[in-house]
Amino acid sequence: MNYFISENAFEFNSGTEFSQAARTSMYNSFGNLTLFVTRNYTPVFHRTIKTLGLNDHQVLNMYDFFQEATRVSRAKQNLRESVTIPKKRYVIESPNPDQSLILNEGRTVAKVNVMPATVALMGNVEYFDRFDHIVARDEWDYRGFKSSTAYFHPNGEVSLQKFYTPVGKVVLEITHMNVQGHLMPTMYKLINYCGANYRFNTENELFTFFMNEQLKQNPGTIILERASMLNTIPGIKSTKGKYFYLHSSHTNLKGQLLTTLVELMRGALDFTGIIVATKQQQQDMQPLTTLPVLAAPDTIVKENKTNLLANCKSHKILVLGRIAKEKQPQDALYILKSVQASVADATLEFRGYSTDRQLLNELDLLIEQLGLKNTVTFGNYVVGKMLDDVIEGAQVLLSTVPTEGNGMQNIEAMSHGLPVIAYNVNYGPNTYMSNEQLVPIGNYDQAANRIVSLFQDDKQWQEASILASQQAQLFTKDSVYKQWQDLNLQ
Amino acid sequence: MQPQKSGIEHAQLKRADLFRAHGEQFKIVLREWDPLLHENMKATSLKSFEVINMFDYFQEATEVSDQTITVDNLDFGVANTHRVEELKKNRYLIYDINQQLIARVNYRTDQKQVASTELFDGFGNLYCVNMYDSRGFVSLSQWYTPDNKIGSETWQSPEGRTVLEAFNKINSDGSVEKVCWRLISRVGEIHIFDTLEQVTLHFLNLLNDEYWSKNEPNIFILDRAHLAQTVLRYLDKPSYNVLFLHNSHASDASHPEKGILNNNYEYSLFNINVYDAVVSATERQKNDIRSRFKPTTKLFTIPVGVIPMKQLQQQRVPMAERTFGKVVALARKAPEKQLDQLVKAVAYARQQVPQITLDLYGYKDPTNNFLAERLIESAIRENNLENIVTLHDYTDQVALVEQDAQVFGVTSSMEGFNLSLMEALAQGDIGVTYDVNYGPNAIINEGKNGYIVPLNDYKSMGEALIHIFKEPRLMQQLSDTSYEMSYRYSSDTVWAQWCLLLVDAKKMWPVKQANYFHMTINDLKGADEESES
Repeated sequence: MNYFISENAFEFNSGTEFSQAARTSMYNSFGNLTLFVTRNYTPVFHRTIKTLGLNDHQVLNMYDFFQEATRVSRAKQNLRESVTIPKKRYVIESPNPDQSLILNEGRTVAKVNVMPATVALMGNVEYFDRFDHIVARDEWDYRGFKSSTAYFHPNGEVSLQKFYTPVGKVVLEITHMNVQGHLMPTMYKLINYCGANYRFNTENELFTFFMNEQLKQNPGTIILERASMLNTIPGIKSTKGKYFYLHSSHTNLKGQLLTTLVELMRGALDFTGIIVATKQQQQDMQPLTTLPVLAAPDTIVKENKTNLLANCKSHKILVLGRIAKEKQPQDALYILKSVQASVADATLEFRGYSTDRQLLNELDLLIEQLGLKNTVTFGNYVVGKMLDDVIEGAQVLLSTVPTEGNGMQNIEAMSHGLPVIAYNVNYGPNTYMSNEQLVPIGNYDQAANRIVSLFQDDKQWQEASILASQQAQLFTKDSVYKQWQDLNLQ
Repeated sequence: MQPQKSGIEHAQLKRADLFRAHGEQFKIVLREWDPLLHENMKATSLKSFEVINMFDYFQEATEVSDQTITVDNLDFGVANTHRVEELKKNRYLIYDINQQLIARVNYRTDQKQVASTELFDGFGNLYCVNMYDSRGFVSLSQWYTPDNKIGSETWQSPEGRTVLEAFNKINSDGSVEKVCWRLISRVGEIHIFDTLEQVTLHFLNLLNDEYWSKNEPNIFILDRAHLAQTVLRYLDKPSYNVLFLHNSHASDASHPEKGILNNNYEYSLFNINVYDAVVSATERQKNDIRSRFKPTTKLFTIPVGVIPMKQLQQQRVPMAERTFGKVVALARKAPEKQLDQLVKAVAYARQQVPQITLDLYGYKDPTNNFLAERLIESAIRENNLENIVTLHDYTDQVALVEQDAQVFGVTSSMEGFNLSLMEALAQGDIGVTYDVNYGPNAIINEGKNGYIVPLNDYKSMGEALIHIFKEPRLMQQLSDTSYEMSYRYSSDTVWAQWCLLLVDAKKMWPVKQANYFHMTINDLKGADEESES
């Protein structure tokens, strides 16, 4: 058994989760049993894994495990059919599709927040006292059972969480109290787990216990994918290897080693080795650590094909990935402005989510200033077939990211035969792309010139498309799996 | 059903015995959470199936077999703990290997059964106190806020399912107030209530459903009005609701026709006609209720005391075999009992009959820093009666005490019945009482089984004692009559009076049901699933 470990599966996943999930699927497709393991509590976990192309048999969530809910078939809980709301006593009002109110003689005693992207299914239910203060919130699992209750301190902060099995037995309690004046979870207590209680100060300590319970049943290789969980590893007693997969550069933009990695690199955390996406990074890192550093791709493409120019002569520039400050999205706007000097109908489309409201405002302002208002769009975060369509509808992919683990978005685009123009950065792009596809960081004019050539010279575009799909060859499933097998992980 | 019961609980127990003996089904319904209920019930004649405590009911713990939980049975989820016992505080302190306090375990003195545990997290915060039921399970968990107040409380079933929760508001003065209740039923229904009264109404509705019968109504008899008076009238379905007056309805019992009402009954009497029946323990109170309120509801008189036939037929103890001059009173040492006046009456009578002694039995009422007891003690000191008047605690050896006494004294300002007086007379004691409403002046017939003197006139009571103790033949005659007249409270006589009420309830039932079903056309129970799915 292999355990690929990260925090969570999200509604909007980042490259780390896509990489971890694709590798999980790949291993399993070769009969190499592997679980996508997550630590965090997420009532919609079993839906989010679908967006990662995983099924219930390929995943293991810590809370699911303790809640005896790793294998539960789905039974939809429509709020109007829920036994929890006695309709002899309460009136249910649904002012909008996202929320319903439970009223007793005119007073709102509870609010049902509909599970996102469903029609009237129980998401969570918040209960209120007569002063309209929240007293409790029940969370409903995607599969249709009441999964947990959060209680609240009188000041409105979470005080206690109880987690249930699908039949309602309490199996875990999390207490939230003060540590040096700050409210935080201070205890994770397993109730009657295999006949005994266990308590832990942190979620990571609970996770270590959880992994040891797994390894007792099924020993296996561990690959941790998130630095936030590094300290869970030393306590895990494994007879096999424990690896850390680094999904990014190990340095910041100033070239300094990331502080989160210092202990790991020192060899203090009982790891067997570190894996990175590129040989280049491997070579740079190996002198910095006593641990063996290995290299194997983080990206697996499902196909590699050449697109026909006729399908996509749109003059559309695509920027793919999370919109965040460190990814320098404003660079793409300056480049677009420059492109438009030669190709007036060039447009730019961002695809990816953002949690940075301020950044989006700044981008809007810049778009206004540059006079790009009608030529820049922000599209929804999409995956799967919808993402394929977005990639195939663009004429070039632009990547202005200043530092990479591998540049997954480039490889994904190339596998569809979409030419890519990217900053020449560590790590990734300069290993699988050629010089004419790379431009120095911050050189807007050069990037714009390359794009203009592709837009104006059909022959050049077609050659670039063929080259891209050839370069993506390195990341097909068979090729990547072989590279992973060659690592000979313990 | 605390160990030291007041007259109301005694009356309920006697009624339970009476109903049980006559094959009439009943439940004693209790509202307050009490982790010692089932331990205390062992000292009564009640069986566990005859009692429904509201919290037990929701906790699915009406009948649970006893399990002794000691500190050895506790699992704190921490390996390698050790403990230190603090014998004086009846507790253990539990530490981990780093000497960090994990828990305090408070135990009851018998077998060191766990009473509660105070739990600390890994950062030294007290986060939870678990209260154990005497039957050996965590009944109530109190969850603490970071500033060390109880934020919320959860009640569990013996298996650990959370069934009821209460949420506190911290007021600006720091006081804590329950402002919300959440109930999770065994089928998973979730109810929100603002007050414990609303919870009570829901509970009574469930009982009314559970014991519903087409043939006869559920009869709810409200013995402590404040527990359900505001909600019983709002039951979903009909029932036969009875207010039982255990005390004077007027604040000044000697003026029942006017003035402020007894706080306990004020709301109920302002709404007297929502009851199907109101029961008084004496005919006199019933008549006073009728003339003051002119209610349309039915009025009954049913004594709260019952004397078993076996006791009425037992061997009588002649006066000569008792301690001469012994006067007793069995009553709480509470302000309205005015037992200091009984001390003064005895002091007065001893001027003529120096053999008179006084024994006072009953627990101390803490009102006004034990004012009543302090008044008794100063009356003893003022009259130098330290060796004559003996103060006892509450006794459960009532018969022995009364069989050795000759006179039973009552100096109360207010009564509902006075079970103790009734029982004393059934043991052949002679009664002397102030002319006080209600009970004493009905139980005692002037000159036959005792004497009634004016309220607060302890000298007259002293004269009555002198009169009794100076004439041995009269004394025996009064005692004989006490025994005889006690047949008024035989179980047969009292049962006959209950039957009048039970018959009325049954008679009214078809009408009540017809009204209800007329209004609702169909009983909607279950119809929601059919029509809305």
